[in-house]
Amino acid sequence: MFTKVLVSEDMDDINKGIYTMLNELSIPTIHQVQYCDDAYLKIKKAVLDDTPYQLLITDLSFKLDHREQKFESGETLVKTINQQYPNLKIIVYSIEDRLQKVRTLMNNYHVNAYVCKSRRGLLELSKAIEKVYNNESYLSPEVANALSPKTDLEIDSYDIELLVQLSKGLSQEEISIHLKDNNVSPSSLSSVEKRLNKLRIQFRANNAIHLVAIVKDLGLI
Amino acid sequence: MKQLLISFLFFVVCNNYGYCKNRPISYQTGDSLSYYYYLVDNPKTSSSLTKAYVFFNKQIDKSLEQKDTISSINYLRLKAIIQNKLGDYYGSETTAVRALDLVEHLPVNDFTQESKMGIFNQLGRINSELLNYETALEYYNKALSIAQKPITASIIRNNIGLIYLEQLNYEKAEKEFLSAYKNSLLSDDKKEKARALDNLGYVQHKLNREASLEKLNEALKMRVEIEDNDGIYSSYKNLSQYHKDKNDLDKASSYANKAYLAAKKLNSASYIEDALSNIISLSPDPKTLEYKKLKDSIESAKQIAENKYALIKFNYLKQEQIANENKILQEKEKANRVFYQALGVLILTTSFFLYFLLKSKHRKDKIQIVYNTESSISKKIHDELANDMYYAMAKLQNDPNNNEDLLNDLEKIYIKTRDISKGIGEIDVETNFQELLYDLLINYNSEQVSIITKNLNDIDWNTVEQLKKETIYRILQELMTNMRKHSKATVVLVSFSQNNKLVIDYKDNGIGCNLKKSGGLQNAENRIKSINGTIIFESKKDNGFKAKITI
Repeated sequence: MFTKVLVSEDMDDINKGIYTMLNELSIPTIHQVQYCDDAYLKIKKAVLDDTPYQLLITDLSFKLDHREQKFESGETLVKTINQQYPNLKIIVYSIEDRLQKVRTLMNNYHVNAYVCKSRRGLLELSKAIEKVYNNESYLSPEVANALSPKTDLEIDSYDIELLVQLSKGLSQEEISIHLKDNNVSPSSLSSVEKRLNKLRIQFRANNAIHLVAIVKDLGLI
Repeated sequence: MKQLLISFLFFVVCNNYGYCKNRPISYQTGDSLSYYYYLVDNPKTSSSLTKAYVFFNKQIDKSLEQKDTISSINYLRLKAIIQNKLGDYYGSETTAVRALDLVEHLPVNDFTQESKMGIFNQLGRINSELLNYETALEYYNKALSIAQKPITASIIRNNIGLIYLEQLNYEKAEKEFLSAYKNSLLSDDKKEKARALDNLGYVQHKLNREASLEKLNEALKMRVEIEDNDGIYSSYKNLSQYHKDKNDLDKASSYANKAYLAAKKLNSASYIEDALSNIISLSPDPKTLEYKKLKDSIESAKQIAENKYALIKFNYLKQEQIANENKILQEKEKANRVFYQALGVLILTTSFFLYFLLKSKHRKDKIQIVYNTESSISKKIHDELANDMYYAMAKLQNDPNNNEDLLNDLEKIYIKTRDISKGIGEIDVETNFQELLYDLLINYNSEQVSIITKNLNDIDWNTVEQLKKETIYRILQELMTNMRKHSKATVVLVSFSQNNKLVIDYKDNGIGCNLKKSGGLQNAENRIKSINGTIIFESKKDNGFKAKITI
């Protein structure tokens, strides 16, 4: 398990919760800061002292107060850390659940895990720490869709063609032959089967007849 | 030069029937203007007058262009004189009237009165040439009414008398000549005196008055004295006529021959022709007389015919000119009309355009303000309320004696707060709207309901305005929230199409809803209206819910 962790979070109660959770994970060195600038300085100093942090857990939004900050948000901190200390693992723990933001952090700044603050937040955070330690990434269920392929929702003309042929009463074999005749690929029986299965799940249909009924009702064909 | 011109024009007044003074002006100046003046009065060849005509026509254009009205009047008068000499009587009349028109626009002074008088006299001469004696008399009388010097009055009265003479109205002629004579006495102008006396003698002879021969002889004597060659010729001619009337053919022939010699001395073809004609009229041969009579009457008929023809031709040309002018005027008017119409249309369209532009801009600004306000409220709810809520929850969780029920309630409120914040929060539609929409829709994709999109990836969002994108996002958000809350749908299809307009079709297989608009749907409708789009809802109980958005 990680031995040296830095937590950047400005709310005491949350800090308390995280600290308790980290203790349960038996992490010996836990440092907590309430400003991003402090976090950056600590990380820098630790690297200079040759005792670098292994993990940074940070919030994204910090309340502004009398202290002027170079890093006004967790995002700018993460961005800089990613550039200067790419070896330091990062878990973002935030109330923010906009997928675009999550995607940006994960893809562009190579954040290792994104945990949403919620009632189960601490549990998820603990899960995330374990995953990150094993070089895996983690996303809270609320934002899990952020990295899913974008074609998941979309049905295309190939799908429509399958549904049209299905509605005409063609069997999967016949559909495969029809596709071949019309030079549509993929036309193999297995791919037709696979795709129709996917559509059945997508449209929550129990069988082919149900599927046709649903898509007809929706006016898709 | 102007002075020269005016005096020249003055003397032109009397240059009629050969009764006139010698030129008092010497045409020694070498410039073209005086050369052409000279040509007008002493045409050397048949083309001289034409040349002068062309020259003065140019001068008229030039002076009109320079707005030199006085010169314009003088040149127009000269043109009228030339036209008269060329036999273009109607043209001459038009020119003279044009000059008159210019004169009448000037304030009254010596020059304008002098010019007016001269022009009236000219018009009288033209009309007497045309044998329109009544009109001629009218003009002469007008001229007379403004004639100030006795000499001019004398000249005009002489002209009037000559008309009466032509009309064989000897009594009236006598009166005029008498008056002319009296006026000439006042001016002490011997030439004019002789002319009046000669004419008076002649008409008195016709009236069989006493001492007419004495007057004719006295006039001749005066003329010989002052070497008035034109006058001498006239005197001889009248004396010849006198004796012819008295049946003294010997004396008549003698004077006719003297007149012929005088004409020779003048070296003027028309005078010589006139003299010869007189000699022939004295011939004892009846055939010769008959020939002359016949020739005279033929010539006179010819002259009348020519005059008529000239009138027709002149009228035709004038009509043609008027027609052309009208045509040009019409074209001009048409061009003007087209121009003003175009201008009007332009102004109208511009103002319409501006009106709608400003209106639309105003509306857009308003919507933008609404969105901005919503965003700032959202941020506050999110950053302050939702966060605080979460901290309260965290606090409660850390409490070993925490109350689960309270925590559950608190979580519900927390989620609601966040939903409100999300519903109006700031959205970045500029960078990747397709992804943004996808994120929005996939958020509603769950164990319970499948969201399916069609052609979402085919829309070119770059061509869609930011405000429209924001609206689309908000409406879809409302629809999806509505769906999750009330529809119990298991499948939702959102299809996109983009032709002239962007069309988004929403359909679900839920239980439908009462179309009495819920807050969310009303919001959606308000939003779409504000960007001139439409949204149509359709729902049947247990038969799903449909919405068609057109932007």
